[in-house]
Amino acid sequence: MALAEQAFHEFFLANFKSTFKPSPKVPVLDLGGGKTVSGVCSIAKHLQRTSKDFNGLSLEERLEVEQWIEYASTVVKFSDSETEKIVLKELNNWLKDKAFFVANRLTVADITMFYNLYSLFAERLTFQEKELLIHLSRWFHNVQQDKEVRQSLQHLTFLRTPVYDGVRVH
Amino acid sequence: MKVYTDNGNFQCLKIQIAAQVTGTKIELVKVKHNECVAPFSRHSKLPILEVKERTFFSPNTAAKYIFLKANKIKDEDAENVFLDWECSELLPLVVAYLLGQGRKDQTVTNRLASALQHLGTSLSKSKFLTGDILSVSDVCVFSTLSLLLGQKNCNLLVERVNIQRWCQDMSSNIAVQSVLNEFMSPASAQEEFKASLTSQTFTPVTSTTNIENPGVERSISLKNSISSEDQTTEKVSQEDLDAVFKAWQTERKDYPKPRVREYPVLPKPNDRNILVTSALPYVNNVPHLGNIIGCVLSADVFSRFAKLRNYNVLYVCGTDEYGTATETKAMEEGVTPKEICDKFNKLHTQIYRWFNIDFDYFGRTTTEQQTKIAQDIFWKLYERNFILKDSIDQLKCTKCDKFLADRFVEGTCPLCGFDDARGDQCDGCGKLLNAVDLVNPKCKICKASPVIVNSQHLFVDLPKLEPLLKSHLDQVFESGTWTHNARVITNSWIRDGLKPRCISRDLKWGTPVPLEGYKDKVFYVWFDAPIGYLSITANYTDQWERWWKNPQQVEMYNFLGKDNVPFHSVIFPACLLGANDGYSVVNHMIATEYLNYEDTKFSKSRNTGVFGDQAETTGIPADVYRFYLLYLRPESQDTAFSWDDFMLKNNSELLNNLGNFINRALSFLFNIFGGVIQEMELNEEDQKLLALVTRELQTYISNLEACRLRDGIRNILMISKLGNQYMQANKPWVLAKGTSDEKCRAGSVVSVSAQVVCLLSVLLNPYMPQTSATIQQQLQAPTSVNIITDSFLPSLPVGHKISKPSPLFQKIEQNFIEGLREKFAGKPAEKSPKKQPSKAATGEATLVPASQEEIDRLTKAVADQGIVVRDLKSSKADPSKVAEQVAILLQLKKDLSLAQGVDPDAKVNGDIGKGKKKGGSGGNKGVGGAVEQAASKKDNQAKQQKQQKKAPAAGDGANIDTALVDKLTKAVADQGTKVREVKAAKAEKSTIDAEVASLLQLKRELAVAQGLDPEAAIGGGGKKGKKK
Repeated sequence: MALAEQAFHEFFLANFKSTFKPSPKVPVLDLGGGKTVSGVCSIAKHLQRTSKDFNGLSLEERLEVEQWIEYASTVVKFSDSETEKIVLKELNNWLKDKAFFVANRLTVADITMFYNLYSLFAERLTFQEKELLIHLSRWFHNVQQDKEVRQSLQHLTFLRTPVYDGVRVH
Repeated sequence: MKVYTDNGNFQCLKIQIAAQVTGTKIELVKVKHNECVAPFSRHSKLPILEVKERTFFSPNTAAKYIFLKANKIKDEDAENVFLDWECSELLPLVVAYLLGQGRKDQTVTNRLASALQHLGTSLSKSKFLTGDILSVSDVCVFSTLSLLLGQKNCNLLVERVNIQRWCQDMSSNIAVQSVLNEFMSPASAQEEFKASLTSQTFTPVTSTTNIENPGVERSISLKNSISSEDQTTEKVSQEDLDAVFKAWQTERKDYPKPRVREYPVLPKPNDRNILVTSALPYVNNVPHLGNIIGCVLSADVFSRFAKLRNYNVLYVCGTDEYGTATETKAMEEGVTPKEICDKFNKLHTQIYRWFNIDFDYFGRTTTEQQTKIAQDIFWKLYERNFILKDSIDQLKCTKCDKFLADRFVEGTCPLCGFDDARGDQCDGCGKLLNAVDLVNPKCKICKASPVIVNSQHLFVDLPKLEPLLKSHLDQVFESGTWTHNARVITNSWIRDGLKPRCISRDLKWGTPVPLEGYKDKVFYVWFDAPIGYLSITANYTDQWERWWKNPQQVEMYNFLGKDNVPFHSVIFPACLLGANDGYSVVNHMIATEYLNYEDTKFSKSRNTGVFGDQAETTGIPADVYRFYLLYLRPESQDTAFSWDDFMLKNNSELLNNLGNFINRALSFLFNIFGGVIQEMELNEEDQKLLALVTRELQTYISNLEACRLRDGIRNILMISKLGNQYMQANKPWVLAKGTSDEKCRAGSVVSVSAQVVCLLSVLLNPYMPQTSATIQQQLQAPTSVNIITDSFLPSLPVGHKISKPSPLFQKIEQNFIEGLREKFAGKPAEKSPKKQPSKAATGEATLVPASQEEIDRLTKAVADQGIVVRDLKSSKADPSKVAEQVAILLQLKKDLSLAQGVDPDAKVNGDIGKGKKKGGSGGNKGVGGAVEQAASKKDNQAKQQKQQKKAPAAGDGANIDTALVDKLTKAVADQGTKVREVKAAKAEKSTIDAEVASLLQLKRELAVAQGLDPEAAIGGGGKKGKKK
């Protein structure tokens, strides 16, 4: 299992304890009474709706969180090298005037997005690309400070001073 | 609630049905297909539900919102499971099926069938998906499924009783019916639907989903997750696989052989004959990494690549040695220009040898051939009336008693106002200049203002040559590879209209002008430097004309930095064309942007950055420098060399990716199979790897053919990444311990990997020649592998034995990099002593009551800023930087005055008066001011007095004798006019000198009166005096 995916499962485990069954195939959350929730996306939405760490959102805000969870687990997760650029630009634009994806606070939307972007940030993006995605990078750096979110993942280095600043585009 | 959608968008059905079922009112806004409604995205995300200024671009979320709003959801978790399944599994499959992918790819149809199977199972348990009541998941799943219902020849739903029953129930629902009818009724419904479908982007069908367990059971098994995360383009068509397999079977005797290179390399008929030139580095500079990547290294990569493609290539370069700069340097060192050139030519040669630049010949411009060829071209131009005679005004520094070469004059650009323009070109706007047009020209050596002297010179009549040039450029722009910047710069030159260009100079160190009456002059370096390419080739072989007078057979590639473009694309070609002697003229021009160093520029004077001769001293192999420089080659924009990034790229790309794969593959082959290449039975997975590698190989070729050298590196890294994944997925180290079949398989895997390694060693050759050689030595590969073919041929025959592999790269540690960063940082441009408060200020501040916290803070800030300004001044920083800091200081002082209730304008005014004229002693003033301010808090009454007393010592503006200053200012202005007059009247040098001396004296006096540093004031005054 990819590192980021594993960390996501660890994160669920920390939140749900033994009711969460990590699985290399499909993780399942046991709600008791024979009811289960399966799939990362649905479990993430369940967490957002029921955990006291994340409550206090309006209905609209909560659904916005769900929308980003869905987006992270489909569009972002499966983007190829072509769509990747578009997606990253979109996310960067969305975060232009926001500290977090929804409601100016950490939600499961940020967390799901974080895991789905991690390998990209850790392995693929160059410093220059990160610098061009300044808002997304700022958000990423912010989210990774949370140890509970980061789990076993390595803290990634971001340059403080923009070294590619003032680059002229021809 | 507003819904934005385009006509025929089936995803909007979800929202519309949800609204109809729940009795929610929505307003439908029709927009074009592809219209961007979501403000953060430049891509259509239709349909979009807008509510309370929020946009829901996920139709499922939008539908769910409508249901929740109407209080119609019982169990959200149950709904989510189906909604998530719909959008991640069903929808991508249905869309892929509708777009016809099912016909090509049976797996799409198979997986869609499994998905429907899953749906049927769920519907066998209850009437609707989540119970007995129609809910949001029914709406969303049905909306997508309804697309299949209308399909002819679709037998996917046949015999799925539960689904059919459910579809019946759904379509008989009045709310659902009304929306569907509306969707289907327009005559153009089918076309609109198709147009909308193709305008949307959907999650691609990936192999991540396990076929055996479709639906909710989304698979994320190890193997699949690797391929989904890392392999971006992994669809391989059958044709690709067949092609790869066929290539693999090629008879070894049919493999192409590398060309044998023999001196001298000469063009051959029916061959692709490529002449590669790299801009000639100027002899008296040590090249820095930016210079190296800019031309010689870039040209080297291309020339090595072209050689591997079996083209007939000649790569020439050399040092450009003529010109005043050399002459001056020689004078400084008390040697002849020739000796200087010899010394630096040797240095350049050593540096390029260390960087493994594979010139066919590295020569120099100070040779007999140069004189012969340059004069010949001149005569041809002269005979054909392309040479004009005219007199020009030239700058002469009376102090140094010499005519100033363009690059020895500095001043303000007359076009853009950039204040550090050189005489020949402005770094600000990139335009070429005539030195005499500079505003405020100054001699670079002594900083004196040069005078204009008139003399007779020769010009190339570029306007007359323009039609010839234009027709050549039109042709090569069409057929050749020209980087964007090369085109743009050339076009802008031609667009602005060509002007006659002076090609002679009043110097001694140069190619003599052969024309009677001009024999005491030499050619301008930019006329004769590009001719160096010809003369250097002539020194390489006496048959040089077969390269240079052979445009039919020879293709010429010029590699250069963008600052050299006009000389290579306009002046030089115009001269060659004008000479009409059948010269080969440039076909391709590859210009780079600039490479910066960390967050600043390379600078010899400040000693910032890594220079060619220093690179070796770092102990890092030349190949790693080559790799990193090429990895960030400034192709479309300026880039920056950063040590952190350098370390990162070395450790992540070279060590963990490339080095890891090569070493692992070879070690397994060596340890398990004694280093002997095994029989390779290609299964489907192997073929897929080979197909993907071939794809990268072909992109690599097209990238390098088009001189996109940066992208070529990515292809190499991608191949080793594919190799790593292949090893990881097949685990030969496990297989080797298994049954004999498994051991055979392990043999195949490591042998295929070794073939990939061998391919990598060849592809690496242009970028990292030493590493390439090391790999081939470990492989014991014959030199015949060194050829790049369009398909992937296994170069190592079965039974071939490799030698013991060893790691190729070394990890670079953080503290080592820190050391290098410090070593090459040079003199700091700006100190930051902000953290050290001035003793005086803190001392005073402690006496202030706590209620004046703000005043304290400002006082300290003023004091600190004062130090910043002073340090800047003493380190002779850029005047604009000083001015910036002074401005901050003044603002701080103003704030402080306000905080103290003092009229800020009265207070700062005096300061500004001085600050404006000259950044001058702003620093002293700052501290003086701070001390006063702090003191004043203790005793406000005494403030004025104290200021009066303290100011003179601190040089405070408030205490300047304004009458005296006014008088002197006027005297300076008058004297300035006088100097200009005598100069204009072309008075005798001694008269001018006397007037200038008296002007300088006046300026000194003025500076003293203003409390400024008189010597600094003269420099600035010189600038002012000239402005007109």
